Amino acid sequence: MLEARRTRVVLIALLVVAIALITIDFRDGGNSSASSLGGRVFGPVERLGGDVTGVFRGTSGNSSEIANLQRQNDQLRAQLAQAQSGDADAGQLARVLHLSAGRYKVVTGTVIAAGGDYSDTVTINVGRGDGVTANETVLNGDGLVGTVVSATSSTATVQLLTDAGTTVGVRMAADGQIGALSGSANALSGSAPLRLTLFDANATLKVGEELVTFGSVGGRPYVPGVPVGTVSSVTTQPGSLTPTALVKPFADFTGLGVIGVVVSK
Amino acid sequence: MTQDVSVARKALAAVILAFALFAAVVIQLTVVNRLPLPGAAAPDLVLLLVAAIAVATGPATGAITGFAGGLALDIAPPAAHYAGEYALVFCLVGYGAARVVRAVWDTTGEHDTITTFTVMAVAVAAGEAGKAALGMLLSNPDVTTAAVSRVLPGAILYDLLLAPLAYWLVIRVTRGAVGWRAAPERAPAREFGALQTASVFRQASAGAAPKLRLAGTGESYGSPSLARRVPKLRLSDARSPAILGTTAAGFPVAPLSLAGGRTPRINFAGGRVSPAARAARPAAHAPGKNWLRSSASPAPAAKRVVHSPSRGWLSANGAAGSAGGQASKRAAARPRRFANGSGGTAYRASSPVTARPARSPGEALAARSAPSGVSALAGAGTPLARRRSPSRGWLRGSGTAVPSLSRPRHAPRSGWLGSAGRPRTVIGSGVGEARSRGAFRRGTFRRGTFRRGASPRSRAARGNWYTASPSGAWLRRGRHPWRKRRQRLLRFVGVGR
Repeated sequence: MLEARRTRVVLIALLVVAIALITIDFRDGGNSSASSLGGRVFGPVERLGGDVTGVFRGTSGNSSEIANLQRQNDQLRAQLAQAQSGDADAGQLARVLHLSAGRYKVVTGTVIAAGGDYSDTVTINVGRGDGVTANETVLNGDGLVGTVVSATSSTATVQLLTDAGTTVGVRMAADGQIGALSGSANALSGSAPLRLTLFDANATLKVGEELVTFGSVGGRPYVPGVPVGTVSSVTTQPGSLTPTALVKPFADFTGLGVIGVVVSK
Repeated sequence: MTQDVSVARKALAAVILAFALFAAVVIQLTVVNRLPLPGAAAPDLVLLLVAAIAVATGPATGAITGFAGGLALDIAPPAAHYAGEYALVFCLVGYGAARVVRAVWDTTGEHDTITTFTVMAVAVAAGEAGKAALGMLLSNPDVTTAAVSRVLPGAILYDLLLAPLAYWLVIRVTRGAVGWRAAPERAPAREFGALQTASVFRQASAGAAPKLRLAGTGESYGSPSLARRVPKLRLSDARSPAILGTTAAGFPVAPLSLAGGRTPRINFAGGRVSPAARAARPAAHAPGKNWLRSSASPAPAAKRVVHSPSRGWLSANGAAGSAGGQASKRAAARPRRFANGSGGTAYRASSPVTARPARSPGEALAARSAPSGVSALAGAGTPLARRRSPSRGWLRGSGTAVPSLSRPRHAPRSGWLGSAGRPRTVIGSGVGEARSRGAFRRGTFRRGTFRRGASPRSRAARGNWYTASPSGAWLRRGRHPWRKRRQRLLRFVGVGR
């Protein structure tokens, strides 16, 4: 009886603590000090685990040449994305969005951990020590990957493009129509398409059109011009105001390895 | 939990399990979540480990382990949900699984691997569902109905696939380190479920000389090593001679009325006879086949149920007395209860013999109307009080031997103890009837009725002790002046019982 009572006391105390944690984290929007503490505790271990598994995956330790090439590829991709936006557009955007052209710098890192069943987040092995802070664009050799949501000294958490909480401003590469792209969750273990909604009611969508990021103010969280994906199917409803489509991303989220973070100098 | 398990062994197991939990968190995040498994889901190693540890150890350990593992998953970097979600769910899972397993073990009295593993698997599935439910509750944008319906079945399936491995590993580690149930008062009662009771009844009704002594003859039925049986033995054996006040000549006097105007609930049929009376009993051997026919008026015997003994077998050589009437009435009232199957186990264990006298209303009727008078159940010379069981045919009675023979000796039909449903009509005087009603009410099986101790007063006030749940609370419950208040408060909060 005494033991059972003590057990109940323990249980109730733990439940109260858990609920308090949820409340605090809810208030802080998911960035409470508990998460940073977890990052400090588990970040190094996950880095170690990422190195160990990277040996088997062949991303980091085993074939450094491949990693090197991928790193160069990421650099070039970022520069290309910057160069591809036409001169007129670039000037316009630079004025409008206060873009500081030519100042992109890419920090490359490796994915070392991934979130659970219901979240599309990954951890990368670069953090604040490498200049990575929150709200920075993450891309890889194929295209846009996501954005950094939080960073510790040695690791950073990336919210993927496919996360249900992500919305990216995109531009049609061909005609410059702008729209919003939102994820539909769970791309890590399957391929969930992204949903595109164009803002212009008169715009037409065609399958196969490419999308690039529209860019955010100051390049955070998304720098402009990064390729995102292609329109896979147009799903505009007959009575709807705006055209909608499903988009297949360029990046392969199931096999994420080396990624680059666009850091502002 | 235990005393005989070495501290070093426990510490080793604790360290191993803590390390395993940490490793499970890291492996979950770095490897398992990145595996491109079909079904858009992945197993949850931490949840598996928590459930396994919980069922292998205990509620407190399970709750703490679940909290720790869930919190680690909550705050380890790629987590996108709120900190504390998984800690809450896993904590509840660990506690609940361990509690259920302990309850099952306490009830069945044995460590069943299948049952334990089943509980663990159910707990894991509940944990997966709880994660999804709490995510939806907190309006996590990732946890939508579509996502849950896509992910949850696969996740549970993968968990169940890995559950045997986790269970085996944890059992390997904790074996020898977790001494279970060393406290004697938590010893599982050897329960007499329907099967055992039925077999006992079958034996008894077939007259196959069951190896049980009649109540009051000094030996208990069933294994005597259980803590819960102590008060019962004391009641029916040690106390009954004094309370019954049986005289040497076998004439029963009116039973002692306890405080509150109640009579002690004692096996009257098994009322113990003083040694002198036993010595004065004329026959020491089992009676012959015709001993049941000793009394006249065979009319009521015709409508008796098949297996009931002959009408006159109760009224062997007793004298009329109010005690006998009450006794038969009480005995008629009681068997109905355990014929319904709601009876306590200790009571069941001892009652087949006790209750047999009143199986049919006819015999009680006969007991009243017979010229020889109501038998003194506690009297000398009653067959029930004999040390040796009667010969095989004694149950078949006089006139009804044919149906009894034609009937196979299987379990009697369900109502055979219930006196054909009319115990009231056959019961004797008004005083006795009121008392019997009291006995009936007292006999309703409330839990914890005997927790106070063995004093007759509290027993009478608290009713039937036979069915005290196997909690052992009656041994430990103190007499603190605030006990009631504390109980009420705890019950109000919801944690008391």
